[in-house]
Amino acid sequence: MVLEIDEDNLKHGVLGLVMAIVEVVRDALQIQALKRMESGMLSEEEMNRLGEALMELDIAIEEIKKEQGITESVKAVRNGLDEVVDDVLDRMINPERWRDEVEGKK
Amino acid sequence: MIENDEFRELIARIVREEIKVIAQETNDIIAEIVRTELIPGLRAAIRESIAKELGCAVSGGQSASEGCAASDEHAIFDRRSKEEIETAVSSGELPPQKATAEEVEEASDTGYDQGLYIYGLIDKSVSARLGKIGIDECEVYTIPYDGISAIVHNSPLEPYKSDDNEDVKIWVKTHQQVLDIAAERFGNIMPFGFDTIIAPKDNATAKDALMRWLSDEHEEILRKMDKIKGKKEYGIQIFYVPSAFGEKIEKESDEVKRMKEQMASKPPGLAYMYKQKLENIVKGELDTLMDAYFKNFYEKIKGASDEIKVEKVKKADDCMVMMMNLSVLARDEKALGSVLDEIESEEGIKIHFTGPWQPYSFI
Repeated sequence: MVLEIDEDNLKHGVLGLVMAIVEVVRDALQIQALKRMESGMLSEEEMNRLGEALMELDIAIEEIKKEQGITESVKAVRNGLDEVVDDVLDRMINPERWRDEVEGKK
Repeated sequence: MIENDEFRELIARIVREEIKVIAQETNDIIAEIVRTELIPGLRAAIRESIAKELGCAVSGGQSASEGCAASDEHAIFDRRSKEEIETAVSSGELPPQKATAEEVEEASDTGYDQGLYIYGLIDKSVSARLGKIGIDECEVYTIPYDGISAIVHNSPLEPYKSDDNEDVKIWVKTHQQVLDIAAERFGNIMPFGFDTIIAPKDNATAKDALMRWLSDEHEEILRKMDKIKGKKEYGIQIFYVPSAFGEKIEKESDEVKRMKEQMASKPPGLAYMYKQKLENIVKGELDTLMDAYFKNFYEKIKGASDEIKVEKVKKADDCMVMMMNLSVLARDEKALGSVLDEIESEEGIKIHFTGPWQPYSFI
């Protein structure tokens, strides 16, 4: 069997995945930066530098997505991740869903 | 250079995984070809041989079964079902078809290799034939037991399964239609979910297994039927448009105003950080606001319904967010409707309403 690999498809898959991970890391960095800012440990100058770095990262991510035409595939990966997290949380908060699941499998 | 190698390895691994996925995808296609091309033929062949075998068994075994316990019931069923055929034909709402006595016999007989696909239960004893309105045009009929009757058709033992979504949609729709027809004719109905099949068990045919189950669960079934009597299920999904509320919050909140003023005089890096902070605040306020809305809406809907089940919220379109997803059991559709109208008059709130359904979620 000959496998035909569509270059475009591969790009959307792999690059979309990589960019989605970069975005998740960016979000985590942002949250951390805000926390430090609120803790009052940073000087104004430090806060500015931090903000500039994050802003540049933002711009870079958007540019790459646009250039490569992978905005949609990144979104799809992130939606998928969101769903997984939602699922886990939903099950933790609502233990009765476990019962539903078990009964559903019977 | 080490870094470079690591990268290469990482990329190689991702590519390998991707190839694996593609291979799996083609696997499905092959499986599907086998399924669509070969299985129908196989199934037809098996069915044919079963029919042949059954034909022999029926002609040879009928006189022998005369003395067994089931035959009394059989006779009653036969007599009644003949009356039912008459009414079915004259009522006009069903496809007119005259069944011969042999067909009735066949319909009421489930062997050890046959299951009963069950659509639902009704709270009276009737034996009736509803015609070939079932899934895959199967003959739908009722099996009575002590004040309850099951609406069924004779089915293969395997559940209905297909990779083609359209097939499944048609089946589910048919299931729904059968329940609607039965509800119109018999009144109160306890619906079963799609693909509920009773199989022969422990030396009993599917029919006997069904009877046993009806007798075991008799009280519970009647209790549940009483609960859903005269009520229907409705699906209510409430959405909100975050941008509409975001603007409102930005306008109303003092904290947001203060932050915006601060931002104007800051260098770009700091302004960026403040913007993030601002977005978080708006989001937080939106969450609190939506919590309050949720409670408010829930109370209102509760006032107009008998029971509510909170289901999982799903992802909606880009510009809307689903805030609640309810299954509601209600007697008075009008009251429910006016409550929902009231909720929807709220700015930025949209409602998706479905129903009436048979009360699947409340049995």
